[in-house]
Amino acid sequence: MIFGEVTLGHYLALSSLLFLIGLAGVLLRRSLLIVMMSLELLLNAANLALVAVGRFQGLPDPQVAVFFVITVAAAEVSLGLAILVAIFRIQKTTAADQLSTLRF
Amino acid sequence: MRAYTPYLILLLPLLAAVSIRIFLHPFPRISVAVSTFACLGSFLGSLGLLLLGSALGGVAAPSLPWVEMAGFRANLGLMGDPLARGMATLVSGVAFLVHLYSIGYLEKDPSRSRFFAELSLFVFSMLGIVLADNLVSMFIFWELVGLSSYLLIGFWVERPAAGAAANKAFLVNRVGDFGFILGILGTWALLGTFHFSEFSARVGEVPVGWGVTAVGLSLFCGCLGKSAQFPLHVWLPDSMEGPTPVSSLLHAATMVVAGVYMLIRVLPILELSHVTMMTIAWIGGLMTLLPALIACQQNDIKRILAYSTLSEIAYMVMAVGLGVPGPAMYHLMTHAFFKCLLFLAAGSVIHGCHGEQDIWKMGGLGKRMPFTALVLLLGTLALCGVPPVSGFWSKDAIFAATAHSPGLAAVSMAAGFFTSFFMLRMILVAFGGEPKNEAARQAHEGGIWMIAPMAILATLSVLSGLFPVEKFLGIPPEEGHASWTLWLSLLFALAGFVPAYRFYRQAGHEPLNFSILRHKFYVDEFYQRALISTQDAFAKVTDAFEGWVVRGFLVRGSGVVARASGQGLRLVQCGQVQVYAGLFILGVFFLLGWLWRDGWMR
Repeated sequence: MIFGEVTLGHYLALSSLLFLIGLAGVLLRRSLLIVMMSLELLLNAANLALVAVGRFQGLPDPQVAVFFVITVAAAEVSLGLAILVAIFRIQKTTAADQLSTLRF
Repeated sequence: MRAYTPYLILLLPLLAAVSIRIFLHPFPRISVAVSTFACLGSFLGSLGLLLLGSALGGVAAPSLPWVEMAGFRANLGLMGDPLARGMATLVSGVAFLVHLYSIGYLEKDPSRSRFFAELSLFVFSMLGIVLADNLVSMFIFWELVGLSSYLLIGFWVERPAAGAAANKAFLVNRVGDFGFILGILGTWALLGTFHFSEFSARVGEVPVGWGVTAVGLSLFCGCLGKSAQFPLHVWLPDSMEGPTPVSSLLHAATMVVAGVYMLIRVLPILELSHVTMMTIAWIGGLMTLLPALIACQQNDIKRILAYSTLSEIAYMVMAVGLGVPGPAMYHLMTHAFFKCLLFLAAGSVIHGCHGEQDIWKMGGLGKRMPFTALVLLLGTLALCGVPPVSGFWSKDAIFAATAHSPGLAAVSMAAGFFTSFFMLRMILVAFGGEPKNEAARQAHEGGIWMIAPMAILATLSVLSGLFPVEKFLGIPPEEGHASWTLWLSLLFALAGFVPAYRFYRQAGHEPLNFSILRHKFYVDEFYQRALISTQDAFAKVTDAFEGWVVRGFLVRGSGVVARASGQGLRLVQCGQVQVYAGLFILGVFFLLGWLWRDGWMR
């Protein structure tokens, strides 16, 4: 019965699905804002896998690691948004395919 | 101490050559003295060995190991058997006389230090060939005489013809030497030794077949080059560009007979194959006749003698081919004396006429250079084999050996006829009649340095036929048994004088005209053509190679590869963040896949 017991496999499958969606967003979307949101999705997919494995194996370490990931992600988002704003001020765009020069 | 005498004999001239080259170069008088005394020392040493050695039996010098590998051994050793002792005495003796002659001949030459250093180098190398006890050492000295011959032919560096002749001699000799190398290696393959003294003991174990013939003919190739036999004879007439003492010593008396000496050393191998022996005999037989014919239409006094040298060496080669080394060595000895004498006399003529070599521009020299005329006449009698002068005895021994091969007897006797013809022609034109130009009118004899060696050689040319040859050379000369060959060959030789006297007694210009003889049977022209066409074909091939492979494929190809890979890699560096991320992900997947394949998950 497919909706019966929720196993580690289900969690990992969901995590992989989230990861692939995030990956597709990172690689394919043009707006840098969406790309950054997709990056968050990637991180959370990884978080989900960590938590699930920690829970099912009875290990504390992965669950602790998740807190670090969340912290780093928050810092990264704030930095990323700041850079995004700075780029927008100069280039008047946030389309990833138009930002192909390294020096302005 | 006695055992080391061969080394002393050998190394004295080398010492002289080296010390002249390094220290004594600026002092010609000292250089000349050092070189001459070194040669005298070698001569006295050889003579001592010759006289004492026969009483003491064989004198073998200790040999030095040189290359020792599994299954391969080559020593550097000298031998003192009777043949080597006799030959060393002959070489150093004639060389000493030529040294004396050169003192007079090159009296005013500023670079005579160099000449005498090179002459000493030659004496060293030639004695090395004579004394070597195995084929490998002999080959080393063989190449060294090639080098000294090259240096001495090209002694007058300011003459382009001398340089060209030196190159030609060296290159033609290389062809022969290549065959000689093959022969040496083949000898090892057949017999497992390089030592002459072991040959006769080992040839019994060798299976008779084409291999023996091939080895014998390869060894003969070395003789073809060094002794200037057909088809490699073209270098010898050109080598007359060198100073006359050089022509006399190297290109008449000693170096060019090294081939014959070598054939006698390897005779046990040659005798295994009938084909080899017949080839040698017939090449020798034909080469007695062809140069004698060519010489009848030459005008350069030295070239005439050079062609007669080719013819006389061919007599020796023919004798070896007929399996009688004794007469060959006998003729080698008498020929060394009288041919050296003839060249020295020719040098005296050239010296007296201020460098004129064309016999048609001389004339009337008999009255002005009576001594030279006399020794030239004696040399001619010896060369033509008129009894009782030395050449008669040695040639008779060779003719006696042809008694059972009428074809060879016919060509070699015909050669004797033409030899008499062209020698009398040369004498009548150059010494008879009236002087043809100012140089000939002012001709004069050379100094005592030039006259004395000629006098000694003239004496030897007349008397050397009476030497006890068996003691001297260690090979019985196999006396001619007064057979029909004796009378017939004598008849031919004397008959040659008659037409020469009739045509050239009062001739002011050439009465006969044979274009094919004047052009030496077009051999040089043939080589010229053949070489040019092959060279052109080869050049075309290399040009195509250069154009298509080197320039087209390698140079332009590498350029195209670099540019194409640059173009390809440029696409990667697009500046798009997402492309980089995609490639990064691809890389990760690739690594994961790789690890998974290697069983990382399990």
